[in-house]
Amino acid sequence: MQKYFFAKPVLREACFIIAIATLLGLTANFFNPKGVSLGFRAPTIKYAPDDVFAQELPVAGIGNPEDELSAQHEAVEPALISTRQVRHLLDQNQAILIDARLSEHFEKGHIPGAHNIPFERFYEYEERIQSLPKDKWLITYCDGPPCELGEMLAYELFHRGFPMVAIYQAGLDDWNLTPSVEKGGRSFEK
Amino acid sequence: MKNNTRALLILLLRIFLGGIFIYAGIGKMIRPDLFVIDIDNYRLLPYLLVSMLAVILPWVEFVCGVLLFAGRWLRGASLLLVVMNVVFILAIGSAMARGLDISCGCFSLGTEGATVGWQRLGEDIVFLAGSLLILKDSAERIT
Repeated sequence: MQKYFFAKPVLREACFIIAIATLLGLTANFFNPKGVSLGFRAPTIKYAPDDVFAQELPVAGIGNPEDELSAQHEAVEPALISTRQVRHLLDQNQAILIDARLSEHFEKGHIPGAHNIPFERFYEYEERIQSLPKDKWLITYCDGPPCELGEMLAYELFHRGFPMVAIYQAGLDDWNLTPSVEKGGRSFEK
Repeated sequence: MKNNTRALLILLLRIFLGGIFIYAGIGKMIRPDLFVIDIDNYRLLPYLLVSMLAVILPWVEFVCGVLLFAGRWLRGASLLLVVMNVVFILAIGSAMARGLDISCGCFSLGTEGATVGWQRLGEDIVFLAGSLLILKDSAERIT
């Protein structure tokens, strides 16, 4: 009998707490720029349109503030790129893939032809980063959501003066759904 | 003396757990867009429930943490913490059993958060035990 009487106020308190939390949560979500879209399906990723990647590639030397061509070219903030767009750029030899994961993960399997610059050890790869070409798209990736190493590496490269950087957010998980994944080496030396 | 010691222990437990869940809630309520990914990665729920949880759960944690601190509505708050911790333990256990290498979404988000594993499981068991003690104590004070 006592347990029964205890249960009712407990449940009432719990319901009030949930109601208050729901109200606060929905209100905060409405005003939060990083709020979640409430719906039956996850929002689809908004990839950059094809013409972003179709623009004429800058001549080598872009990024040098004294270079006239560099001054004329407008750097594109890292854009989200789809698997189809990645394949197209690779086929045209207009891109380099950069795997942002740690070396041990890279060696277990990576997209064929990708280079490895682990974001978490970024500062150990300074020389190699400076030797990256500025006349090709640098496409960073990691495993896929929720991994954000690719995005973080992309912005780091962009802020260091690389004008053509893209984020392959779907990453290795999506690439694994298609042809083979390469294993083993081809990592940049430190 | 025994009652005083017990009351002090419960107070310390309330402060400890209250702080834990306030901290956990704040981290997630700032970035619900990352927390929704963490929940979705468990592959247990449809997206609508995932998105609702991402919006509401951090606030439930935060409010329960505040109530534990304040010593108000202890029964309801501790019951919710018991339920949440049971769910977290089951979710983490399920992810481990399926070999999912994902962020647990416990205190921090995305790649910054620790992955699911025995440590996270152990922590949630400790929190569950603490919540049960507070619930039991609040029940005994009423009855």
